[in-house]
Amino acid sequence: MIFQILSIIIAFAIQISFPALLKIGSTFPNLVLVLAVFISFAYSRHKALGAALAGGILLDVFSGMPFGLSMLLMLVIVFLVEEAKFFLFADLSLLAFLAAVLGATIFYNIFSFLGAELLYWLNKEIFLVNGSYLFFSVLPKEILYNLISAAALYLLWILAKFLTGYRESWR
Amino acid sequence: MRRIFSSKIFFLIILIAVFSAIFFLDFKDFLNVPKNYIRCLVKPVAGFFYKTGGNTTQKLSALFSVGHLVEQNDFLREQNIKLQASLAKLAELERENELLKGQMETANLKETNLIFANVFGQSPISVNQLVVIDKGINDGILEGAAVLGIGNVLVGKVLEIYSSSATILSIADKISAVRAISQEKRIVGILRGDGTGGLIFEIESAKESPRQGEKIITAGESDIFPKGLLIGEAEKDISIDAEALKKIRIKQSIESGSLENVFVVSK
Repeated sequence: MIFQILSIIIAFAIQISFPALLKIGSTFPNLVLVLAVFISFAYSRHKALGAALAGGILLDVFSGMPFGLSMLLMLVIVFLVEEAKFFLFADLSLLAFLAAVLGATIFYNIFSFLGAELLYWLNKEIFLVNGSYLFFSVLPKEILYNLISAAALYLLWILAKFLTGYRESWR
Repeated sequence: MRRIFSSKIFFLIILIAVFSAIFFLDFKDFLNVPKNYIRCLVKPVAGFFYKTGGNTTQKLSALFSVGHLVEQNDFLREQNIKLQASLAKLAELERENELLKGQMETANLKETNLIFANVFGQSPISVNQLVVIDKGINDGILEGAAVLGIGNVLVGKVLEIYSSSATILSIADKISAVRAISQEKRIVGILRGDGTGGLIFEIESAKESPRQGEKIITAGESDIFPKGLLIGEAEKDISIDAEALKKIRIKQSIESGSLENVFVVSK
């Protein structure tokens, strides 16, 4: 699990450190989310939940959003992907992975907005985001960007598997 | 089947209880200490990547600009001739500059201290324009304090504060609003972030627009931002006729995406 958590920390460090390189307009990929979905695809449930927890905490601490929201959403996303991979995705194909990343990106953004709105109703001091800006300007670009990152990550994984002879062990 | 179902319900109840407790503790600011520890833990790694990211961006932009060098050289030669002609007028403008400088050095700024801080990260989600700095309560930083870039250029305000780090809300964030004034025509309006790193200066439709290139400064009508801080310059009128407010795009003097160091105003 240490390897998965370390890779999440590095993905997070890249995400908050290379904005000028990664940005298109003001949008950049959510590498932590993409990697968490990938880990839940390629590794066991415990490793995926550990990675999601670490990624969620980091996103919460640095995003200015209510603490715990990203953590909760990441855990739910990983849990749903874990469930779906047994029932829906028989093989770890690129298409299945992209579908999972697409779903996770939409789920994360919609529920982080709704969650923040709900928590704002309970505590007016928290930081809010602009909904119309999020859904009409940021989300479409982030979906596209996350899918590109996911495809790149998948290809890297295939290459690594080919070179090392690794076989997936989640089953 | 029933056992699986009940175990999942049990798990769900535990999850809701745990996260309700986390939200409650966060609302009461009881989680500031662990949040600060996590930030301190990530700071060295993020700081390294942030610095590397800045250097790489500079190198890449230099690489891509090689093709434009000849073009730029011609342009600079032409500019040089124009500048020599303008030099004659400078003596007259000097007096005007002194007046402008006096305006910039407001009474408020003279009485305040500036705390130097390093930026070591930005918001991990696209929808926010935030930066994270390595100074916090222990260094005398207060929540809501104005944050300046090099040359007393306003870049944002302190949003969240921990013992040894703080989060800065950029003026380019979609939810940011600053009362500002154009320096020559004295047009007062509200400056809002467009969310993409740019700024929009909103003024009443009946009012005249600031001229292109005119400096926009803080109007100083709040406790947060002292009067006379440079924000940027008027770039383009982007208002639509049907709108009640005139909208002018402002070119920020310093973009939050390129920040390496900042100064936090402390009273």
